[in-house]
Amino acid sequence: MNDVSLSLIEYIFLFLLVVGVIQLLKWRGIFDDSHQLVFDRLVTEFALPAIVFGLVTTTIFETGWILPVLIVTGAVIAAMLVAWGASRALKFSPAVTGTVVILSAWGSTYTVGTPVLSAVFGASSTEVALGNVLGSFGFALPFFTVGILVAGYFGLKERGGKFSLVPFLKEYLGSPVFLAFWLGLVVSVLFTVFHLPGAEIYSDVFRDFFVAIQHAINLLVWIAVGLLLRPIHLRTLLPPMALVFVIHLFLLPAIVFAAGSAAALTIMERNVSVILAAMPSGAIAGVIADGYGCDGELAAVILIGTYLVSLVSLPLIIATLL
Amino acid sequence: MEQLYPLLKSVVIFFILVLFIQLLKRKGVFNDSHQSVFNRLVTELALPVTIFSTLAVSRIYPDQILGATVMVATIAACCLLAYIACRTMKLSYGKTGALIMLAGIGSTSTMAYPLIRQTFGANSEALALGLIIGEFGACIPYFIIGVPITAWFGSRETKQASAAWPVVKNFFVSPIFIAFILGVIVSQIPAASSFMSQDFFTTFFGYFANGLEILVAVSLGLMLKPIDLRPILPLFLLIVGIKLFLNPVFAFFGATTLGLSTLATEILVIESAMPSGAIAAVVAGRYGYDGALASALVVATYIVSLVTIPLMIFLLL
Repeated sequence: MNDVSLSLIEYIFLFLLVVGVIQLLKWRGIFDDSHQLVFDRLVTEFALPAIVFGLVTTTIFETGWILPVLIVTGAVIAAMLVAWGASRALKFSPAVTGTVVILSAWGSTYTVGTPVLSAVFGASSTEVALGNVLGSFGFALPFFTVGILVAGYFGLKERGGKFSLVPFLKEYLGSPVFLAFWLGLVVSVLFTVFHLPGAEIYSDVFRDFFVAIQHAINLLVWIAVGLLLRPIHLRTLLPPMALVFVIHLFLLPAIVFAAGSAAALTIMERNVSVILAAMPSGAIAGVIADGYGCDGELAAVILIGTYLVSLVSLPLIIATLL
Repeated sequence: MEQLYPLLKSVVIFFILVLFIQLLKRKGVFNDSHQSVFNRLVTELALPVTIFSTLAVSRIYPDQILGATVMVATIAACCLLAYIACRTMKLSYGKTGALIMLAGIGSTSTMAYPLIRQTFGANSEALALGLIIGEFGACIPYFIIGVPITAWFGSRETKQASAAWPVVKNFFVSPIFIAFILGVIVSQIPAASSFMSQDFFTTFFGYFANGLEILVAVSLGLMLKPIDLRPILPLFLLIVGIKLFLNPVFAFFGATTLGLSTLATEILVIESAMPSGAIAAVVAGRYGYDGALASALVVATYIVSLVTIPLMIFLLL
């Protein structure tokens, strides 16, 4: 068994173990369904804004990375459009469509991506450094902007609300994640371009503050997924699950590979982009989908499904690339 | 001062987290009903896992037991002072019982452990030392001696016999205590201890340890609320004076008198400087005291500790 499979198996086993513990605590009555909302809020309104702010203010972007970032962002948008079109053709409800679109487009680049890249290339390799940048700017930032907008749109449609662009955008622009993104950008520009005094204090104290939250995100998201998980009829589950499997685990890496080859990315850039695109669906994406009114229960089951399928698909893709 | 910087930074980061949650609460993202969820998550999951994982890969040294002895003596001295003050102020038995415990018992498990972990690291010698001092020096003595004392004062107040056993029993079957005992047992079996040191377990426990600080910060952030201090000002000053100032001073002098290591002294001061333990207020309420008063005093010590913890660390260490 190679390092990638071992790294993946360990991560997935830990994930399932925590989800199992939460299910056990739920069964013992320590948690109930009403607590789901609390964890959704903790993730969407506390942890994620802090992570976005931390990402924007601490990652130094280089112009050479623009092309790979644009390619993965374009591939993610293409995957979203395919998932949306297929969901319409299959006549899914807005909540299911939102879940399928989000889970098809965004993977666990933040939580699984780095351990896998470290297992393949070494923890202090250039590939891992590029992976962090691609994960932040190519996947995470589009997710925290476009992804949340999409989840909010389908959530609103599911509730039967009439879609009106201005109030919808107004609500979105006032959301903690979006504010954190722009605030982070302003702080970053003030420190790096205008050399505002206090940069040292910021990087010393506040960076640790955001790191503390980043370290906790896995547990918070897993608890949220553990609370979301409940039995779903196979007939309801299979079509959306199959769609996410095909689009996210196979089509998305294929699009990135094709675009990367066409744009003449270096082999290293292309490989890292494809490996990140081939990650299982994002647990954070599942919690966001639930938090914004899409089908969270479906998201939890699909998440676990993509984690299990990626045990086969990811080593296969990596073996083909390297 | 330089070596204290990480500790002071941890305190500042922790309180920023707490204030951030307060802000979200004021914005309506969280409400009071959510507090119990996080309390449970801390006491029934994250904290027991952290306690077990730290102790299982640690060794127990004489310095740790001596540190725990200083902790017991410090708490006893503070409780005695509070008793004398209460008798001087001619307070009722109910109030006296509650104040004695609030003066001695701090938030060791919920606040000191995450703070020590954040400062010194998850698998550090400091955290193992903190756990031994905290459990042997504060938690176990409180549940063996403190709760029966509280029950005795309660029975004098209500003129009814109060059974302390259910509360004591609850502690000894609690996940925190079970994790502590299991951790100590595993640490004494070399094969089991090295098995628990494997990367897989380190990663697994690491997720809980990383989440603990945030969960505690959320729990505290939800607990803090504005209180009217005027009616309870003398009692508030008494508790703040004994718990937040004298307690760490006693611990510091106890540690230096016995010649404990610098690390043991730091841990003792940190654990002694913690605000009053919420458990003391809960137990006080259970024995017929003024639970609302006890809770208000606990919240007040948390608010004041935002200033006194960095201050005491700065002055004593």
